[in-house]
Amino acid sequence: MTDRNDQDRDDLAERRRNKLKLLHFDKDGKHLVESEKPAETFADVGGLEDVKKKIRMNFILPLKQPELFAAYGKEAGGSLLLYGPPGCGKTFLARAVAGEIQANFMHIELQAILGMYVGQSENNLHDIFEKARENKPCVIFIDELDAMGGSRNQMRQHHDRVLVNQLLMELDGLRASNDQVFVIGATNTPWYLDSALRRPGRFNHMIFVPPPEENERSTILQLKLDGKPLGRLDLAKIAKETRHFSGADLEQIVKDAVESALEKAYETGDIQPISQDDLRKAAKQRKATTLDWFATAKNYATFSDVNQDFQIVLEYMKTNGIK
Amino acid sequence: MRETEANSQRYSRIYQLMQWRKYKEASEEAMKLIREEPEEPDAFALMGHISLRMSNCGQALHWSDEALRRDPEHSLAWFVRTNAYYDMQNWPAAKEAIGHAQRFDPYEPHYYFLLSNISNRNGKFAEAKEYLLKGLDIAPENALYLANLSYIEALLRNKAESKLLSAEALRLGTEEDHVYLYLAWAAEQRGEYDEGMNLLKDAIRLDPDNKQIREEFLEALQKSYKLYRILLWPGKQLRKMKPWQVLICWIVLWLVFRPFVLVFIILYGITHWVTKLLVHVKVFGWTRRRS
Repeated sequence: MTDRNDQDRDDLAERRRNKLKLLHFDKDGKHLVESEKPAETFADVGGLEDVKKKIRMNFILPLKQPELFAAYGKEAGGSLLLYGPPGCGKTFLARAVAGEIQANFMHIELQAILGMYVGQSENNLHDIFEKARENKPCVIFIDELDAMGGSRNQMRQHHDRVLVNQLLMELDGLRASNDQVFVIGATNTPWYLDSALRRPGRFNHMIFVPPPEENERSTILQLKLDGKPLGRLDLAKIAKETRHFSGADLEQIVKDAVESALEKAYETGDIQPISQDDLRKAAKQRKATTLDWFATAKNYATFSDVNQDFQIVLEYMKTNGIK
Repeated sequence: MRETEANSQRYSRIYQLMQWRKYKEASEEAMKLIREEPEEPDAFALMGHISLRMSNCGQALHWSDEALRRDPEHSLAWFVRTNAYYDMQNWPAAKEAIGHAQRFDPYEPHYYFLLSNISNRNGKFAEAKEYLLKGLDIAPENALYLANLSYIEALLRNKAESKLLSAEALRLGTEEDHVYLYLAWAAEQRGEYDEGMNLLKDAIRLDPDNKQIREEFLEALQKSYKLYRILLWPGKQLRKMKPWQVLICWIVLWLVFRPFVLVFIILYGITHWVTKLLVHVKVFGWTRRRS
């Protein structure tokens, strides 16, 4: 019975994946092109249960059971803002959302929108939103939202302000006439976001994506070490010693350990497995890069959080002993 | 032609990244430019500018030096150099660099602002005012300069003038954290502590990540306790005196009012630490804080 259910789920996931599109601009930045489909689903995201639950409530369930949400006066659609320290899986999570929803997936990379002629960025942004409306249901993922939708007051150049205004217009357009178009924004610096972007109907669901917990760190290390020559490893111990490390930090530790093993291999002439000692030394040499982020976030949460948006960060810091 | 256009786009892109405070990415782009055009002073000066924004004054000096070796009149390189020395609080070197920079870029008002701040730090308020007025001749609507002038007028005890300038600066610079900071100092000098506190609240809301603003805000909260302010008063008077006058004052006070001086020092110490603790609990709760 369970096998049958698993089989059905796999088939469903496969069918959903077939409907996914990743759209971005071509190298000349002139045309939208379709590229490879993201294969990730929530099952690939280790931990982050609260985050996944919130996304399910705001994105997945309204799409699957619109009548239930309509009964409570809630429509499908809306926007979600993922924020947190860099390298903690915001982008990966957004890609996984695409694997969970029977929808197209459009990834707006800042590099693709900008770096062109003045005035063209707004057109590009509009084109992407238009494309999303044509391809409903659709998830638009805007990475580095702070750069695109930063505080208009701090923007000296006129064309930057125009781009933010364009983004606001597109988000309002979504609210007014389009259901089943979902926007996910990601940023490391939510405090630079224009407050206008956080009004109802725009990015009104803010979700904090924290660094991985101990068991998640162990899983990440396992994944990063996969396929490499390994000695006897106690990854749980390394995970315990790498408190507050981000996924990117852990990847760096594995890279350092690989280099150390390679060095030994050069010296001995034989393939040397990555040992516990290699990993431990690499971990000791690195510092959690998330701590700088938390220091900045704490300042914003303590002194500048008029709407109490970042109190969750303070609570997380308190719970996890980050000073 | 196409190459020039591509290059100009790259420079715009770097400035764009700097504006977004993505200094790491900006420095990577600038390094690429330097590798591709090792004789181009603009790329070196820009790299210096990025280093300055990253508070890496040593690097800023190095890159500005490289730019000036290729073009001794490069205005951005001189700008970086003067600001780097200023940030390092190397006043003689900063003044010398400003002298050079002004020869090539006489209409840059920021140099007068720096000179004014240096004079201010040395207690030469009238000289500071003169420099700032020159800067304001070039940029009459610069809110930061007006706020600084308001502070200097307050130091010179021209309270009415200081208040007028404060209002003007606020009208022009509602989104500039440093405008609020200078105006808070001016208000404090005028004895308007509540006004100063409100201005600091605005400053910290705009840039809570600025260490100086944070420290000023916490200090202002401490000063909101009247007893602490009263005990600060003698120290404030002493700061206005020359070092030899301070020394004589202390000797006389020690000889004539020894018990009183001892009581004062103990009372000051207790009040300082108790108010500091109260402020800490008020802001951060019962936690230890990393600075």
